[in-house]
Amino acid sequence: MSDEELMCKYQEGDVGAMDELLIRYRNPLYRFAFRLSRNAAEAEDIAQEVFLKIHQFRNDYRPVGKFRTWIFSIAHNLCISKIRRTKWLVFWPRKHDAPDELMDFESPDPSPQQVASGNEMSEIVKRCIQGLPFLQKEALILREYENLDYHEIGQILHKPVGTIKTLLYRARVQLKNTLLPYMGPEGGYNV
Amino acid sequence: MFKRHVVKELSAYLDNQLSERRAKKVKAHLDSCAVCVQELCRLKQLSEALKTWSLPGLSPDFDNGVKNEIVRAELQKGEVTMKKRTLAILIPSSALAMILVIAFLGSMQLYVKRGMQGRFKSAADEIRESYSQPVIRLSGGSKQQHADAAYGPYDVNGIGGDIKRNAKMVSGVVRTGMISNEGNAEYDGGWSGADSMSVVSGKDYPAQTTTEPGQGPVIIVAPVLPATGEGEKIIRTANVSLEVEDGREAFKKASLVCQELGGYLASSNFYKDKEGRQGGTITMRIPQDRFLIALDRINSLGKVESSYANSQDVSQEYANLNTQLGTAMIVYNKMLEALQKRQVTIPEATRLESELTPIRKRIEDLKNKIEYLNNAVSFTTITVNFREPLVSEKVLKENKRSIQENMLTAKINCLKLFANAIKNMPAIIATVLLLAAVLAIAYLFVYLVIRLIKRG
Repeated sequence: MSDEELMCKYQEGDVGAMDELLIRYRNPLYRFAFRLSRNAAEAEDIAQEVFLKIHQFRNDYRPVGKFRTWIFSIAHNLCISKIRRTKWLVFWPRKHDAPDELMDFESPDPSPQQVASGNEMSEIVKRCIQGLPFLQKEALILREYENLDYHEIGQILHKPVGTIKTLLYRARVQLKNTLLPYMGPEGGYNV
Repeated sequence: MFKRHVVKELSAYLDNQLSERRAKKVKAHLDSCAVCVQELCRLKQLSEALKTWSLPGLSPDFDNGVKNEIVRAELQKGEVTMKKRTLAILIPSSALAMILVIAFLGSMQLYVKRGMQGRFKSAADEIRESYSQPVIRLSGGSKQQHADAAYGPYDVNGIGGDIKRNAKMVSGVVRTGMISNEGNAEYDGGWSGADSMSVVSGKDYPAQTTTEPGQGPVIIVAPVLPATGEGEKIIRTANVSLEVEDGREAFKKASLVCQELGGYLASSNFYKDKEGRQGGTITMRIPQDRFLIALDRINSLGKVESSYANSQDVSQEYANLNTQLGTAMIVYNKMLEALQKRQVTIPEATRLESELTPIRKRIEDLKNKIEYLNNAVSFTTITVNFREPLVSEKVLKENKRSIQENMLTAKINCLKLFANAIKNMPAIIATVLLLAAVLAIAYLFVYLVIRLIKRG
């Protein structure tokens, strides 16, 4: 049964459809949110909230587009809201907050010391991706990890396909430049 | 085939997102371009590297958490619906209330504009009237009377100071009560309770009404002198002490009273003490038939502190003097006749002459005494002592009046202020709303600027 059919069933009151949707999308949404946010707890909250929004707006859903696009666009909007809220809080630091919690603006590029000590390509990739501009990062994540095509990514990010193409190209160029020193000439990694 | 490098197309080519025609061209270019092939390899390598980003696993309670959140949302939905219903009632009610308030304010404004001036004027007049009550003064047999109304009971302060009567004004005639000098009646003045046994029975006196500026009508009742009887000779004296507001004015008025009643000033003195109070003493001689009128008018000059009147009956003395004079005149006439008719010798004439001289002297003395008594009887003596009080009532009255005027002004100002506040209420509300709008715009502007700065 397709995602759209499941959603229609849930619209009709089939609670079991939500269970199936949870099984299908909990991990993709969590991964997407995790890669865009800072930590696992925040990502879990976002993913949970996505399903809550699906429940709240189930009657507004029309099976004209792909369900996957709809659910990722909800996640995209929630991530943006979260980031905006975080920015606001950062801009107006609370009096009793620990300064290092709010002023932790580390350089996105991995320092040689960190690379030497961490010795893990995963951490390097993470830091490099987090150093990308938000839209490039989002487009890259949706493409590389969720395997969405450009059209779907454009619908999620509300951008034309050409823009998505450019975003991905720029993201890859930047990543290539930052990750190149860690990649061997014949494949493999120099970390 | 692309002649130039297709580095920019490689990303989409790798993702298989190029159109079929374009993908063929890129593929053809890659067959002949080692640089682009190398770039494609790097992109593939990069893609592989990106796959190494491992993630922590999802919490096992995630599904339960989602379901719990859904249940909670359902429960909250009822509250939200309730809130929506409440708002659905509250918002129209508030709007209606606002409309009513605005309509009320508008009507108040119109009301204030149209009627405020006239209403304030009438209110101010009422307040003024409450501070200025009419004073009816009754002089004559009774003294100063403060009447609450034209028709009604009133109190009369007699010249003795303690007389209280109830009377009614009937057709311009003041009906006074019985006045007797026997000591137990209403009249308690010292001047009337002395030697004189005369009785004044109650009767209607024609009233005259005059008006003094600022003091209301004054009714003067012409008094009747107590009868002294045929041939009776009574010397009347009175001593009045007054507390007056203005010593100089009192002196002038007393002199004027004396002059108007046909009397004369026997003596007078005027002084000013250390505290600056003016005072004086006037001794005036007033024809006996105007004695009571004079007393009334003098008592009306100020507050009577003490009043003393004395009547001395000199009828017997007067009769004796007249008899002695008559006898002396007979002796004198007979001796003079004898002296004129008889032929007497010089020594005898000298003796008669020497006898006539004391008789003549006695006659002159008796005549002088009679003349003195006549004078004393026909002109009564009134001594008036007057002085200003320690604390001048004039000043007190002025202060009181000033306070009342200030209070009146303050009341009127308060009313005006209140009226202005009501009148300007719509403008104030509009100003507040405008200010709120400006602040909101300013806040929005600052918020947008901060947002732009944050975005870089």
